[in-house]
Amino acid sequence: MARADSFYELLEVSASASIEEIEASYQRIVAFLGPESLAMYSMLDDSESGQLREQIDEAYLTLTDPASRAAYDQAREATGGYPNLVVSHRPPSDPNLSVGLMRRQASGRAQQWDEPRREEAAAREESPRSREGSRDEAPRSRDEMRREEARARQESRKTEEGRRASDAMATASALHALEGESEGAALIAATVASNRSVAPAEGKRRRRLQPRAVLEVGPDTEFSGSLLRRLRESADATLEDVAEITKVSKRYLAALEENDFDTLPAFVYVRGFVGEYARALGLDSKLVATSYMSLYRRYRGESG
Amino acid sequence: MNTPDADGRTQRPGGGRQSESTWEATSTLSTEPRSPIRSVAEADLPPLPRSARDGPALAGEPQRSIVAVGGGKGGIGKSLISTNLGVHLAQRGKKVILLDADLGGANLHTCLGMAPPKRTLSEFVNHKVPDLREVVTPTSYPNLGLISGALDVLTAANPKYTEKLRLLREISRLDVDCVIIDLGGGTGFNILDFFLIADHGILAVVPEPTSIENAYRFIKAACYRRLKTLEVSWNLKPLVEEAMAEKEGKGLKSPADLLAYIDRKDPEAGARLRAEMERFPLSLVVNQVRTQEEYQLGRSITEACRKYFGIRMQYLGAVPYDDAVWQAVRRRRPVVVDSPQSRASDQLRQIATSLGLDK
Repeated sequence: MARADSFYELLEVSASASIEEIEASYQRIVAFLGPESLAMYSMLDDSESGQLREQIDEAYLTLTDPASRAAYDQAREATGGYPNLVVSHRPPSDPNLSVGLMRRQASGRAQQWDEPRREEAAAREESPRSREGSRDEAPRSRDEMRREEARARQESRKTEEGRRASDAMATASALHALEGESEGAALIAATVASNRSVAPAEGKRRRRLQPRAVLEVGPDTEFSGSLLRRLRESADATLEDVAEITKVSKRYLAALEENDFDTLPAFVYVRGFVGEYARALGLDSKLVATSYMSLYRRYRGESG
Repeated sequence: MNTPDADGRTQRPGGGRQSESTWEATSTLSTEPRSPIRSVAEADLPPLPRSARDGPALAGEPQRSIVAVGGGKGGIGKSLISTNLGVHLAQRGKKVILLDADLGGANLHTCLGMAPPKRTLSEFVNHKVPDLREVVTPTSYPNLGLISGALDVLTAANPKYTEKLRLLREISRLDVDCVIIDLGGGTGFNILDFFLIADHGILAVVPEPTSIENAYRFIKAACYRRLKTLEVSWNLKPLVEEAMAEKEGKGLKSPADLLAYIDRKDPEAGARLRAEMERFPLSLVVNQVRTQEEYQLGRSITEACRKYFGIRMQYLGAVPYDDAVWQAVRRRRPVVVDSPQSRASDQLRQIATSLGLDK
């Protein structure tokens, strides 16, 4: 199969392409490689096409996010245009750039894009609120694991991530307080908790939507796409609004709302997208993502 | 055999452009018949088309093109393309021979409204006649001769290898402006070898996944068969075997994979091979097109071909689904004759222009 040397080649755009151009090219490629594509029928086997789609998604996510793109471009320069080579461990001069990107490319494995930085900030920030909430009691294994993971990851953008992370910790502590309760009830608590904590922070920040709906959720509530839509509509927000906040494409947001798993990309990206969406609605992204992804898994029939 | 045509002229086999006595002396075959002493491996392989061996025709040399129409599947319009292309070029004054190489299922005579010919490829393959020109049947269209495939003879459907080689060489020597070979369905060696002696290999598809699947299968098979020829000439065999072995008998996924492997191991050979693959004279016609989306299919296929096979495929256009076509077939006339104003006829004539055959 033809090898592309860079994300730009993979997305068939020039190195100076605008986000709009990248988006347009990406959509065209997605259609070209999609399951309905006649021209590509039988050309690639399942694993090849899965791999290719992941690579393309990775390229898309990197190049449509200005900071990631900058880091990527820097890495390409450093390695003479072959970012898949191992980069030196010298930390980047700008701490706001993510070295996680370079590391990840070196290891050749695609990982969920947003998570590392957020988790890292979670570990790093440790705001007083989170500290008192979760330190004193025996940590739930999930929190513990998250912190372990975060310590292993790289530096990230601080202010915005930190704020988000502290919210995550706040909701985690709320959860914690409800230890023994079902996930659904905890979700309400998490929702309420994070809605209260919405407050603009200094520096760059992302807008949050304010859903007016009060969700009645029971212990077995599945956080499906339609709930996302109801919350969005109750916040008088359009898909464009959410796309603007989350930087996830409208197409994928719509697919999330419709539980249209065939349109959505790989697991790891969907989890990120749904997490972003949840966050934009002021919900705890981890909880929502976990619930949504179990739906996804059931549909796919896999245990990944 | 030499029945007068509509103008009262006798249609000689081979188009009559050269008298028999001078034929050998001014043969357009650029390479002399090979010496009997050659490696066994080479003997296994079909001859390359003239354009691949020697580049474009030299000045003063008659231009002779071989066109092959394949597609890996039956019923997708190969005969539609070959007969109409042949008739159109003949109407333009070119000397054309149509060769029905569908060895077990010859139909071209029916498409042309002819009775089953008395002499067929079988006679040549079975040595009943020594000269291929003796099995050319004149058609009711001036300038157009037909070499019909065997109607049902099993032996002819599976000629011995040496017989096939002889046939291929004789086809290359036919002294006309254009030889159009209509292949059968499938991807057997016989079909591939006919396809590979062509200066222009036309692949026909219809907008159905089965057709696309067969088309890609056909392309892969043709590529590998072609590479095999080149590999022997260029001493690449060890490298190719190594590449194949690397995948542990699963076979390389695509010709592009093989090229990439050779590139890594021997960049010079890789570059030469890549140039050869790009020159692989493959073009595409999409038949029975109905929707807007299907009109786009041709371009998408050539794009996929370029990316995943490393082949530059020429897109010749889409022939719309047209009632005029099946009506013409029912009447056993080519659609360019039966319905010359139809959209299908337009597109079919366009193929000749796109390939530069009607100059």
